[in-house]
Amino acid sequence: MIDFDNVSMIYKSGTEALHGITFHVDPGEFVFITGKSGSGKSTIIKLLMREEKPTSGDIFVNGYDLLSLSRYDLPHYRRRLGVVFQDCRLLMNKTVYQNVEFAMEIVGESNRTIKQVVPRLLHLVDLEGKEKSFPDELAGGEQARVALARAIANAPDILIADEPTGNLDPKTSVEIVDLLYKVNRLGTTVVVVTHDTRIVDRLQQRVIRLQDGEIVSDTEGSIYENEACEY
Amino acid sequence: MKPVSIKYILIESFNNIVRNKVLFITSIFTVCVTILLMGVVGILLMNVSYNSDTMMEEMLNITVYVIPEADEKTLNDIQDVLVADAHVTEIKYVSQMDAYQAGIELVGEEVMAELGHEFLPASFIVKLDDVTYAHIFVRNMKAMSNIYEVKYSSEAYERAGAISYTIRYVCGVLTALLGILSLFLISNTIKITVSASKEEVTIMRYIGASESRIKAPFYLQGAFIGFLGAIISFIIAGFGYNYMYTRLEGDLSEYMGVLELVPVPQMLLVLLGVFLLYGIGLGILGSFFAIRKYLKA
Repeated sequence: MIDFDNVSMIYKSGTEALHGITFHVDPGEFVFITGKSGSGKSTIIKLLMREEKPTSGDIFVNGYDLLSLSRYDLPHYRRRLGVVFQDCRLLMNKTVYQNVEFAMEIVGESNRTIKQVVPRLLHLVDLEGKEKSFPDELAGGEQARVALARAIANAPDILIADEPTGNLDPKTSVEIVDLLYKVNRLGTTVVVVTHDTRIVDRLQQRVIRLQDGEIVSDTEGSIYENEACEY
Repeated sequence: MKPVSIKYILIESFNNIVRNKVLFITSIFTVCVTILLMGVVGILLMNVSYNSDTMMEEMLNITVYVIPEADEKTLNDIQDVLVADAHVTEIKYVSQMDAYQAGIELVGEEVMAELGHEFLPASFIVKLDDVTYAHIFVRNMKAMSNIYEVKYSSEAYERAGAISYTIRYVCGVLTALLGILSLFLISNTIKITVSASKEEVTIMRYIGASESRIKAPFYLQGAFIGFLGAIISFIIAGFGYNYMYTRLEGDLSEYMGVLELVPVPQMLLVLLGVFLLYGIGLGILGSFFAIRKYLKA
């Protein structure tokens, strides 16, 4: 499903973000990518989103070779990905319902499908009754739920969450992580980039740990249980 | 494109307009001003063309005078030569008596009665299809026997041609410059509109919206701005031209001399077509330049 093969990334500024990293993620897996600031986590997200191309190495995601992906194929590739951004990136001038609806509209879903799917998604993320609320009327956790509902609106094969609990209190963070796990159980491959050790501990899933652009460990289950919180 | 997409594009375009009312009005104003400026140049250009074409058409007439003593056979021979020339589009024969009548109208019957009509040469007024052929035609005619004189106002024609060319050239350059200026203005105004929707465009890109789906609402918006700008400019220019035409052809007609203005319906038709084409084209092109940078993958 996701294959990083000896991937290195050096930005135009000269910053070396990744040094020959290699990892593989199977369909249906739940993977945490952790590491300190500047370890290369965000670069992996950018590469997965195909915002950037690696300096060297190969990346294959969902059958697409990201190095040779054409401008025409890029939207098709991205439609199979769902992304939850750290800052949620909700459209403030649209309601909760419209934010989710928007994701489906722009990929050309029919009105009928939208009307069936959006309420189900809002039920899944426990936002029933908030359909007509605007993002600035919602709490941080609720905004994260809207972002999650939008990310899975088009039934992506892979869900990427970039620091999904970054701005949330512990209780809400747990709720969001449980939701991500729920989505994973429904068959979606989930990649969560985080430095929040609490959520990594909670789920006991695979953890790829980065340091200075290199993978320092790739283990099943939490690696933080017996460590003091590093970050 | 699915119907839902068309609905989406229309709704998004409308929302963009409502969200950026002030910019929308500014854009229309920009289009309007630039189209009006171009319209003024265009109106001038059309009238110059209209008059110079008429004048030059008149100047393309060549008069071939035949010697007064020429008999009917000679006249027929000359006419045959003229008819055989592929560049001659029109031949009008002016007999000695026709010339005499024209003389009466010019200097009076008494004078002409004393002179008589025998000394007046008959002539052929010839129209050519190609002005560049005129010199050759005149030379050929002069070389023929029984030709008294060939009159052709070549200098005046060439001068008029040069003036007309200069005016057309200057107007063409002005139009092109105004076009570039207006494109720059409209593009920048729409760029601000697009910039206000930057977050939306970014999210659309990440979700996997195709380029055409992202661009379409902005193109539609640009086209709508151009359309409204063109219609408003047309109304102003139309009323303005109608007023000018009425004044110049009425109270001020004595100052107009031989010059004629392009009739109002003809001018309005051209202005409407050009303004709409230009306004809508400008709006779409402006949107194209404005949205381009946000779509770099």
